[in-house]
Amino acid sequence: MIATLIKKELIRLLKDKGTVFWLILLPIFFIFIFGLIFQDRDYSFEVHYTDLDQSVASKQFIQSVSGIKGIDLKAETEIEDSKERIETGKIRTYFVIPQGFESDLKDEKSIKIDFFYDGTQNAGQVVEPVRAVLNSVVATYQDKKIEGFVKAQFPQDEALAKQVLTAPIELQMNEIQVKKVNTITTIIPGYTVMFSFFSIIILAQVFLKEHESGMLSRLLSTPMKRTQYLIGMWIPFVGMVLVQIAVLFGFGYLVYDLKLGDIPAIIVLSIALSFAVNALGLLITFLSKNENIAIAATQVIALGGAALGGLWFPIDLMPETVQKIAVFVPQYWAQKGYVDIFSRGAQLGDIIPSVIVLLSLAVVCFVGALASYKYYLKDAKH
Amino acid sequence: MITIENLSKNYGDIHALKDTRLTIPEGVCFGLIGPNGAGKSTMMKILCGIIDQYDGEVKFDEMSVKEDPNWFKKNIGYVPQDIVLYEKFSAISNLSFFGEMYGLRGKALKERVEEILVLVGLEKRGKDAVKTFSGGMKRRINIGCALMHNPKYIIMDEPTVGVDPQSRNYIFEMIHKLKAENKTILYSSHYMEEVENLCEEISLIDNGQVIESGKVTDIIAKHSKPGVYVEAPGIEESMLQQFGGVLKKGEGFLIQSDQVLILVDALASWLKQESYPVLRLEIAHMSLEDIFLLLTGKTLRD
Repeated sequence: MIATLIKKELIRLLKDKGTVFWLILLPIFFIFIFGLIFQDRDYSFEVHYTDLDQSVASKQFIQSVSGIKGIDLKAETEIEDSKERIETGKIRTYFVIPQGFESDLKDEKSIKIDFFYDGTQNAGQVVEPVRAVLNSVVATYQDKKIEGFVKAQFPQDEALAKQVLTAPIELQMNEIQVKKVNTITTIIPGYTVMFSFFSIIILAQVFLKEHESGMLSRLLSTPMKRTQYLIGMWIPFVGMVLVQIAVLFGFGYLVYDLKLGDIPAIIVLSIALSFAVNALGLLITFLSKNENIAIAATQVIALGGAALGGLWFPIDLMPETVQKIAVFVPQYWAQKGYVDIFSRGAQLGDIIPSVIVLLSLAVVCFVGALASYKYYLKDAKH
Repeated sequence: MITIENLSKNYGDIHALKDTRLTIPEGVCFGLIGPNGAGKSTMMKILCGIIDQYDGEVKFDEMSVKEDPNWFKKNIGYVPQDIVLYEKFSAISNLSFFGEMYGLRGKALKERVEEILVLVGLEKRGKDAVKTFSGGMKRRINIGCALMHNPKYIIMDEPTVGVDPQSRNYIFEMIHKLKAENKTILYSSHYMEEVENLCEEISLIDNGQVIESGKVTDIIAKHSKPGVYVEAPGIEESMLQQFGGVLKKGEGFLIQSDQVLILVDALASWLKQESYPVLRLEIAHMSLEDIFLLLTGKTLRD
């Protein structure tokens, strides 16, 4: 009996074009779009300049700036025009090397480089890094000046000169990265987890349609037991979410070179996620009076959970309060588990907390759904 | 044989069935007649196990439904009032699904699907999706699904609602074949002529109670009186009460009397005297619908 219901439901799901769209095509579209935006991208800041001196020294200065990773210099000829473009928001930063730059440098006179920038609040993210870069380049000229002065003062004592010129603090760079991963490593699980929750809409539609159309009552006139109906109708959705996860990760692996990592860990976490999503779906369905309520509740949970759970932005960038709330959101634990597997080489043992949280949610929701099931049956259209 | 004893079912303050008693003999087509809300569908849903919370007793072949709900479910085929099919599935897939729900598998299932497609006259459309069918064709598949497991008892809840004449004839043919196979059929309908033609025995139900039960001929003989039917624009029921009991029937009135010839004469004189234009004036007998109206004061479409 259960096998018959599972077979029927799987065929029905396959015949429903909406299922494929919502669960496979739409997330692939999102992954594709965000993949285009973020994949292996080196962030660079466009900096505009005008060199009025056109000397060897000014060209060296420009080379020093352009040699810094993330800075993309664009030469301008018209100062007023460039300033106007900042005003209209077309460019964010602009500096002018003055005439006499080289001669003033040789004469050790103070040189003023005008730095123009967009002062609106939302431009700060672009302006501040550029300002820091320019300050850093300017500082190297100061260092050279000090070096020349010290060497001139202590021509015989190189050791003393070296001691004076050595920076009191040195920042030692040590990169720790277990696996070489790209940005897509967080985008793919993020959208996979988010869209796995959209399967609740399909689950609710199917259950409520059978409830409203009289099919549930019709089936209750057969020798089918009520528990058989629940299990036979529910299992295909658990399988559907697992297929969805497999297809989306497979897409990531084939198209974006997603580094999958420990497969048993992925399987266990995916099963836990599927159970949690579909148990929550059952609870929402049985508590909803109609399809619209179920869809609205699902959207709140799917989208709200995605935002709070770090599926759209890295959780570390979020306010502390949101980070504290995130641990109560199932999406957070699913995303954490997948990112740990993909980025940090986590094994099955490492993702147990995520699995426990998701399975606990599944059990709680399933118990709640069972308690509501009798009312769902009682209200079925006869 | 189906025996219903003191069957009661309440929906809050609404008494859908009140101490209903009924015996449905084996191998007959038994009609349930009553207006909307009379309790027919509730009774049928109790009989086929959809409603399992009720007072009273339902027995199939002397065995209580409560003793072994699964036994009787395997022996009942239920045709719901609504068309309940998977629209995107083919007729074969729908029939196979319901066959499997009753335990049919493999060759037996395939053969039964073919038999049912022939029975419902859709053997050439078996592979087509149900959504491409007319309402009547869907009704036929709806009935076919209930017959997949070859049940001993068949419960049909208004199976011809909204059906085209061709499909209606197929359904009647199907019922005649099932009767020939000695199936016990419980048939509810709004269409009195259907019930009169198909059913050997009937029950008239109103307000959750059986108000009359028995063979169609016996009920008609018990309650029917000869009378005169008169149809004349302008006349009203109150004007005719001087001649006897009056029932509104269609556009005219049926006046009951044992002396129909005298009544015809009296009516003709009165109509002539009052100068009413007479469209029809004829001796008539009461139909089942008239008897229902006489007993309940309601028409079946109330």
